[in-house]
Amino acid sequence: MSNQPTPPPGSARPYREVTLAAIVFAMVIGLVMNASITYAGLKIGFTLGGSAIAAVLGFGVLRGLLRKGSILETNIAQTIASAVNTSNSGVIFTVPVLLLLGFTLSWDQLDFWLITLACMAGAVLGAAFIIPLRKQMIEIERLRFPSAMGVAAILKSPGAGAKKSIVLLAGIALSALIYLPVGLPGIRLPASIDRLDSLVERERISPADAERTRTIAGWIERGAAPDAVLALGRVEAELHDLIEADEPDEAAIAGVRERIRDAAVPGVSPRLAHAALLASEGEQPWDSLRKTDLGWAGSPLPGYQDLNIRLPARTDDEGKLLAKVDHNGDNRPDLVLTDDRISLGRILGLPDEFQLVFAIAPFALGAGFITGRAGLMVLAGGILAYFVLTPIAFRLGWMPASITPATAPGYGFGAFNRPLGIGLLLGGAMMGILAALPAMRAALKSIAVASRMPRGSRDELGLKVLLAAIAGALLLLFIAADFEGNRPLNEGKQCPVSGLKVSENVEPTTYKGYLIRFASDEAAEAWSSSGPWTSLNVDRNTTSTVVWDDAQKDKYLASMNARPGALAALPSHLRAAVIAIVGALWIWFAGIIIAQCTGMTDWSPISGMALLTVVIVMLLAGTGAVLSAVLLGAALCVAITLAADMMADLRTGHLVGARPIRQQVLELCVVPIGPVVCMFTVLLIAAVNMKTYGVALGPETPTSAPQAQALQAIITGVQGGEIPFALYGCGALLGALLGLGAFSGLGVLVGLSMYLPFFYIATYGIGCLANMTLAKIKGRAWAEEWGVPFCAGLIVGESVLQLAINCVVLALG
Amino acid sequence: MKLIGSLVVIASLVFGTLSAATAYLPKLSLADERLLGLTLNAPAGGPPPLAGPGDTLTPELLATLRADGVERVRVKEFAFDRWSHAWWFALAVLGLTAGGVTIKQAARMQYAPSAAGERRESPASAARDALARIREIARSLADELPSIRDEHDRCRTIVHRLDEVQRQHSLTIVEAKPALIAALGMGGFAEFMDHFSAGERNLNRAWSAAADNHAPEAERSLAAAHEPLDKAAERLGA
Repeated sequence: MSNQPTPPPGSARPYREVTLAAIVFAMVIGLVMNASITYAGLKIGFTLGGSAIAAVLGFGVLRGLLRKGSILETNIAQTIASAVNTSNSGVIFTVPVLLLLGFTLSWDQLDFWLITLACMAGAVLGAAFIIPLRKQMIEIERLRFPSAMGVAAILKSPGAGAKKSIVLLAGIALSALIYLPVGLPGIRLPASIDRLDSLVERERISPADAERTRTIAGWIERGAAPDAVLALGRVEAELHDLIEADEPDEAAIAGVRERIRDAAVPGVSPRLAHAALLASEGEQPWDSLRKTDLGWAGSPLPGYQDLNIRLPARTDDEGKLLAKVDHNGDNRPDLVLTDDRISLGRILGLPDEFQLVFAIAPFALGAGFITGRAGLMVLAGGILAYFVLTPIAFRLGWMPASITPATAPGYGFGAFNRPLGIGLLLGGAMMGILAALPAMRAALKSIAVASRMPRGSRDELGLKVLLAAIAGALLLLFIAADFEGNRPLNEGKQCPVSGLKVSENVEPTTYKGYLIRFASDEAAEAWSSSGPWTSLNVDRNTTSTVVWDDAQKDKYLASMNARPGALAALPSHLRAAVIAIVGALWIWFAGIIIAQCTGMTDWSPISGMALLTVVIVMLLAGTGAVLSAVLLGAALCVAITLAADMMADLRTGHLVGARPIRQQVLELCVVPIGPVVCMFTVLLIAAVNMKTYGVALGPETPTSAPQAQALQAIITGVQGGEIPFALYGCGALLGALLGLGAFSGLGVLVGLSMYLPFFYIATYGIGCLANMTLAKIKGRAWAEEWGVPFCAGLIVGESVLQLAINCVVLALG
Repeated sequence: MKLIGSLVVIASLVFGTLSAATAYLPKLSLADERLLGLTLNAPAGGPPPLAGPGDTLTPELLATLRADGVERVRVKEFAFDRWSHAWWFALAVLGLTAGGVTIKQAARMQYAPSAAGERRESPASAARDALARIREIARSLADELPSIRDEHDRCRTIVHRLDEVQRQHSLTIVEAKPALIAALGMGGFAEFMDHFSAGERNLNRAWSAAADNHAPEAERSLAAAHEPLDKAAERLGA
């Protein structure tokens, strides 16, 4: 009897995994992170993954404050929080482009809800498509997902012993210490007048910024601004009044904008002029002009750049600095250490077209270390792009004569490295999928067998549930695509025939896949019958007649940047169905690519996939179908970011022993929430901007949406026929053939690195080399055991610090 | 052989990407009729540039550019007959194919069992040994735990013993992937990993529950790991 074990006290309480506390905590964290990161993303231009932050917070709250969380409960919390948060990077890359292109979004408009619906459908599709691939990617292919390994290291730290916890904390501390001078300069306070020269000297502000600040300081001191400035301010005030009217008059607004352009004062923004007007009228103190968003110079907090490390001064016979050491022509040797990167190539004296630059990014270092040897392929692709292709193309004269050695890498990136990289990615992924077919088959067979097991003992979500989710999401996508596809090309604009504003009472006509609206039945008749239309020019008292034959109609479509798509001949509902199906298949394929890239390297080429989505939809539906293209682009971006996030969460789950089905069910339930929060946040920001600045988003507002500006350039490029399909094709062929060797996914790795900026790859490569060196010296097991927690600390430290800095930046406005 | 294959692949990739970079860069030495009407996609000539993006190649512009010594211009339109390095690209494609096949053959030869039987130190046999050790640990834990009366001690034992599995043996099996694929084929490897991973995940769960001092869950998970690990061993012939 005495040898019997004591009854386990734990048997009375179930092991905590899916709990109400975890769900509530995760929802709150996910929603707050989603809204704040959406704003930060629109303002600063990049987003943060939520898993690591949620794991750290979950650790603190569930285990620390509530004192009852388990490793698996915290894992559930980070799964839900990141699922709610992650969709923001998909939305902010795409949706704001509509606002930049002049479309309006409002909660009482159908377009807003259709895009939201498409994003929700994309979220479900991304999760549902990737779930059946868990076995293949995580259990069979054994993709590493470096960040997911980092999150698992955090979750496991309570049981891993004090030493590993210390190593993890040391990683976090070192990461924060290294990254602090990178992030701090993001916080800018209004500069003191006495320090302007010093700021110019340290290249923190431009001489023009300093000059404008002195000018504003002069106004404040005198309590008066020049008449021209006040005149500009008055026109700006008129614009504000018009915008804030209950029913804004678009024509009047356009007229005032024109007058603002006429009244422009060099170096003075209309907002600054308006603020000066208010100050001169006593409505606000003159001191209120001392704001960075009005043009007063901002003084950044200290960063690496303040160390003022420059190239050695090398001069010609006349004592003038050589252009080689003074690219910006400011008569000082260039900085080699800026806040976020070190230009080692220039220190070593490499030719300018070889830009050997390292990002100061502990995250990249940690991810590279956890990836290990396989990550070297990423480094190899970067070397190919930036140290072979670009210099050779430059030396052989394949770049315009206006390109200098220093600008060659940037030109090469846009002209051939990026398109070839995207092509290699696609071809490599295709080969990877072909090679993985046996594994996929085995994985699906295993899931099918598991589906027949009793409900409580299943480890994996059944295929029937996933098929139902996919069918539902596909239907939503079709509805959204159908509505947008049936939107007239000239909705709310001018009639092509009469030039008057179109009327909703006149039946629209379809031409080459586009629905066209008219101002009157007569105009519609002239268009339909290819007949003549005579218009009267009142000013000149003359008439002109135009025959609306096909040539004239084509001319009109061209003026609207609307070339017919490949599906133009199909009826509109069928066209929408084909586009929805192609979009869904593309989401599946792109989701696999992104999950593979994230799994192998921690990088994900979201922008490249969004670019291709927009190109595909515009090719199918026509280049005028911008709304449809952005709608599907948004759905795809949300889908693929969530697919990668879900796979990473499942990888973390595998490492801590979570039951996949629980993560999968919860993730499928919460993923549609993220896009709604994100869309409303964008809407709110756009509404506030419209009231304050007269534009929804863009460089004139605090939320410049830099990622959406990139997509805007792509859309304009597609409309202008500037997409280099041949380069994509060549890249895809090379990427597929690269997979013939020992590693079928090689094309993905090489393509990814041709597509990414080299300075991140370089730092990432150092991490890979550090892993290999340590494994050689201390053994592979040692490098894993101690290196992974340390590198998890590096990844988490940077993420948490960046989030904190973003909060300060946002709080300071 | 593998080295030769790798060199051929690297050289072909470099030549392939280089030649692809000229796809939109026709030589101005081509006949006028093959160039006229093309749209520039980058500045040409100069500096300052004589023409910019969007400009159409006209006889006058062609003459100006040629007189300025411009050899190539970047255009929006692609055509095989204007692609000066198309043959290079075709050679690169052949090289990549040949290099890839050579590497694949070399890998097959490297991991194929020798006529005298499989070497003891090969990755595949190391994976078998690692799997045997994992199963041994799982079994011995199942035998030992009932004799440990204190729940915390049981949890500590589980964490300590499974640490070895996570740190060492699982890694050995994962690193033997190419050798196991060569030995079992992709389908066989997938089936093996399916079972092994299920067992491994249960062991990971046992570790987590034990680290959280929840012995019943840890022991349940440990017990659940036996069957998939046995099936994995069966697939591996261990």
